[in-house]
Amino acid sequence: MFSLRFSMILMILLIIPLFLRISFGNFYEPYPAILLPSGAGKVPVQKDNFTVKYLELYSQDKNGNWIKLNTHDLLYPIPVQYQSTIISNGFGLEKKANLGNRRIERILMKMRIIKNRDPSQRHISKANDWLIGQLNILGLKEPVIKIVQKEDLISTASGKIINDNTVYEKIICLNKTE
Amino acid sequence: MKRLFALIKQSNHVIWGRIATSSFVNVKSLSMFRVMMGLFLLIAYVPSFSWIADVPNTFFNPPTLSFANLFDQFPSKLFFVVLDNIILISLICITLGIRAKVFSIIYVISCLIGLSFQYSFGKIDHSIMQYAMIGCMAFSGWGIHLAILPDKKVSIVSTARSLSLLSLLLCFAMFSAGFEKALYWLNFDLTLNGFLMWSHYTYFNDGRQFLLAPYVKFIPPLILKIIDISAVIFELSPFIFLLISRKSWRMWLCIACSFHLANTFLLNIPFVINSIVYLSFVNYNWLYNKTKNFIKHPYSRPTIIASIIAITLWRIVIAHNSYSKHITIAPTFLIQLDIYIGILIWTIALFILGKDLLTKDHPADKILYTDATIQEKVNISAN
Repeated sequence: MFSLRFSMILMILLIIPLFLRISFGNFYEPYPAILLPSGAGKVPVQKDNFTVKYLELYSQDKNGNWIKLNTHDLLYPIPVQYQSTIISNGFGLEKKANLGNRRIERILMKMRIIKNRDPSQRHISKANDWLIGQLNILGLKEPVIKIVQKEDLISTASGKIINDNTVYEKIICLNKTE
Repeated sequence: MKRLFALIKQSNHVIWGRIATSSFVNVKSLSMFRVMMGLFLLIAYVPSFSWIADVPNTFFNPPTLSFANLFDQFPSKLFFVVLDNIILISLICITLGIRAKVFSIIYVISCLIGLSFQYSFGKIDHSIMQYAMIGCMAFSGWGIHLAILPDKKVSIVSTARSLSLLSLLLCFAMFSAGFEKALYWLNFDLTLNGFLMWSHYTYFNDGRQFLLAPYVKFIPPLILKIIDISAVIFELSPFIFLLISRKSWRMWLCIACSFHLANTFLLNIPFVINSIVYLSFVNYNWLYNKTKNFIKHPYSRPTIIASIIAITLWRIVIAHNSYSKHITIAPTFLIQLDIYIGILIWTIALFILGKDLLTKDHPADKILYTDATIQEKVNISAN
């Protein structure tokens, strides 16, 4: 059917991506690769409550009140599964965090596989214009977005929120350019 | 050392022989599957990437080890429009059997390029198996029958190799999902649970709160632990089922459909696209014969061609006018619709696979499945 050589090469091609994902995390998962999501985390069972973290977006109406945004509507046409990573990266409007703390990062930077992806002024301006346009479609004219990370304490029995906590807030002014 | 090497080589032959026996499906059935899969994808799931050119380049954050990482920003609109048209034309050609082998390869490469950019928002979706399936099937001879421009005939070994490789890739994909789970979930600690983690995430972060999802919190700890262990066993076991026999492999495929159906009810995660991978191992000879008879009817060909043209025009209109164009029937934000369609599709898949499991193999096909016959071809091929 297949030669031993083919079998060995196939195994290597299959195992390397899995090894990279397990050893170095999802950031280094190659694409394409024959991999399915693992999701091997765990949570406590039968605790009275548990915590959930999530991101919310707000903008201001003409009176200065913060209005909660529907992230799907704001980030149309981007599918919903990619939106949380875009928001947690601050829409890519700021310089990326310093890489090179890990050996794998230093090796990949030397090989120029990891690149400097700090946004240029032109790209920042276009992104600002795009986000302002999206806010206008939602009926909001103020060029500002607030990203809020929240942590809710939820009752296991009733599913109701016992306590909600704001972990951090970040306000992005869209008409400011550095 | 020589004896060890000979033993390893012999083991390699035996293992592939057993995989081939378990996974083999004849080319007529594969041709019928090609048509059904093509119609399903045309109606429900044509990948489309031109929307990517409309979003800001500050969102560009490609996977480190991917084709998209060669670029500094998203390509132009023209690039994606051309890519979308190549994908649509390829899928039509696959469905109609116009040089299906070549267009299968073109379709897979085009989709992987487009997806490389789609995953440049910072998250990789794991829909690779459908493309692995189409890539393997390109060499199986699935373009020989029910085709307007048929491919050249292929040997039985080529068909067996394609299906063997696909089944092994599916086993490895499942292994990749189950391996890390096995490291953390296989224990007797009832105070922590992995399935519950998935439930919390999908329920509260994704808003998947339908059907049985609200009742997961009432499941006792022992049952939750059994679910954890069952999931790990399911994901690590397909290779064993594949080696045992044809019946056991199809039994595992039925278990897989049941697994996805249970996930749809409890976690509201349908993951429907994997259904076409499982259904590729079904014997569709009964449907092939009926289709052949239908094609002989004078009105059948104009009907088929008109249907394909209508679907194509519909796809072109959608591509220019709507959001989430690659999933028309179930846009990702319409979670409820996605779930109900998932239940329908997994139920149908389970029915088809169950029927195939209980159906006796045709005597002519049975000859092809035996180790002796395929092994003979293997020996000829190896020499």
